[in-house]
Amino acid sequence: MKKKKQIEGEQLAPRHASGWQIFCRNKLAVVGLCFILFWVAMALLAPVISPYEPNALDYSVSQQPPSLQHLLGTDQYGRDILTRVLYGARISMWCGVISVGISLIIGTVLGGIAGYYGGVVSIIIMRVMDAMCAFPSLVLAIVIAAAIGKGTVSAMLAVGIVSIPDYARLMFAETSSIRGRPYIEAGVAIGLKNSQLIFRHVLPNCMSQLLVKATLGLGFAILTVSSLSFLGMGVQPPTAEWGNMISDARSYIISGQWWMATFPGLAIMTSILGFNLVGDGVRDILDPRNRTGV
Amino acid sequence: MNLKYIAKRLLYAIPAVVLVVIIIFLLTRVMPGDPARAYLGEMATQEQVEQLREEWGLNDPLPVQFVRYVSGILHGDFGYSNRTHDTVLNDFIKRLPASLELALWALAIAILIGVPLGIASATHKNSPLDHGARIFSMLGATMPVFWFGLMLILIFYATAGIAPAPTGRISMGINPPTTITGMYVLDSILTGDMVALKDSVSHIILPAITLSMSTMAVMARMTRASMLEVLGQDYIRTARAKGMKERIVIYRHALRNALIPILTVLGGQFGMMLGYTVVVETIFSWPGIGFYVTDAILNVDYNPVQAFALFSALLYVVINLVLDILYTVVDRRVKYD
Repeated sequence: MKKKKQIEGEQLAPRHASGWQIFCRNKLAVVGLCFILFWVAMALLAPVISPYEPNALDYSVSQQPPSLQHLLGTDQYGRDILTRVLYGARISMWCGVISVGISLIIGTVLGGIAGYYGGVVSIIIMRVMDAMCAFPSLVLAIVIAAAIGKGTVSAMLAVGIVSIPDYARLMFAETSSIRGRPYIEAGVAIGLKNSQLIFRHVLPNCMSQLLVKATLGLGFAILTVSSLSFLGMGVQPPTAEWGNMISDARSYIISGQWWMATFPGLAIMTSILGFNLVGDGVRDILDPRNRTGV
Repeated sequence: MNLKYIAKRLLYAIPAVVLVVIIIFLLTRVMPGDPARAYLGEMATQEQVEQLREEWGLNDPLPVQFVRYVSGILHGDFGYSNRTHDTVLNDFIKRLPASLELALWALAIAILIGVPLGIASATHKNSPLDHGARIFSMLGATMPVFWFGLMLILIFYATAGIAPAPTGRISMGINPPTTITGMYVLDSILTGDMVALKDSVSHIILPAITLSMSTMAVMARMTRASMLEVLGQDYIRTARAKGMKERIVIYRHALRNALIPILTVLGGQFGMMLGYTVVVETIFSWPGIGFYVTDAILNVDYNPVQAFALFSALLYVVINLVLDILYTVVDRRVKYD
């Protein structure tokens, strides 16, 4: 019965569904979008809505379980976990955006150059990308972060560099397939410059794919930055960051003080889940099979 | 098996290996701080540091250093650890059995649960089982490994009290089994040491589950997708129409053809797992290579970190090589050229 209703519903959909409609058909993607909007709002509003200062020490209330005064409890220094989770959202979102920005820009340029010009340049660039992919991403991020030095900036850079091959490979594949198409040949024939061809004609065609990659990349960046911070290489204390909050809480887990690690972890999980689900949803929009209403 | 194909594939792997070595070398040289100073400590005089720099060849031009670095690697020389004052290679060899044991357990759990779950999910598409499996694999893939491990400790050790404390491979009062392979569980089985067996199994379960989680999730998802694609094909319908038993159709006909994408994913997952070993061993104080590497990171001791990165990248290249060769065994249609 339910199935029949579903089919009827789908047939009623317009012949050419808009991107937004396709996105909304994927309920999980909508849930994902809600997670992202929630965390973005929390990041923006952290100073306004958080009840305490993120680094305000108050030993009189240290290690308290969730209560009305401290909704998510306090850590060993009496800092309010809720406040720190909210402020952590700011750091995580920033790290995500900046590291994805780094890999998106560098990867797109490298992949574009390799795909458009071909030849020796492309062999060199793409072989280096392949070699970078041979490293487990977390391990490469650790080595790069170690090379640059501890800290937030170095973690962002490390995660950004690690993901460059993802974008470069995608851009390379797209560009080298677009390059042979008639409209590019036509562009060459009417004397367009290479830069015009690349920015006006090749790049827009790769945009949608890059967008999907970047959305999924945000989740990966947040996870990897927090992993680096957990290992003590990324964001340094006392700055509130989800990964280093969990690292701080490690020794208290054993004695059963669950709230210190649980909430930052849920924050990481929901934000990554958000970006992954939305990434899948955006991919659905781009899939031509979903373009028609049926 | 086609030897020509294998030789060709080996040849392709060489540039990758060379580039991996160059990347690691360059990363070593942009490192801030002076390795000689780090080795000697704060108390050493500038003269002593300079002497050691000269001795280690840190003042030579880069190409000279690179040649020396490569020849060192070829001789198994990855430098010294400032922490243990032993060679990195020795440190690795000492800790390898612990890491290998953990990785094998995790891999076994991931495959033994992930693949059947994916098959069940595909054969019961859109059933509650399928939905459950998909939610499970979605959460498994997004959960931060370090957090998942801590939550397991919280639930099974701190709250329920059924797991041992996360402090290594075996309880303090119990003697490890006589060393044969260095893997405690296997050794205690081989030597018939029941006490050590029980204790070492209870110690390895939580870290192994933690390490296997994301791979298990990916395996389940990939198996499901791959099986669904194969199950929709004509020869499966033919097999069913011939009246073959469903079990034979699924396991002998469908699964065999669905295996290739699953194998590919498994190869990629191995690298992920290596990365996560660092985190998981740290959480459970598992005395393996990952724990050693974290300790090295925190103490600005970079030789072990670089050696680990190099080692894992090379392992990745080798695993993919082996997988490519395996494809030709699993599926004879894979072309040799």
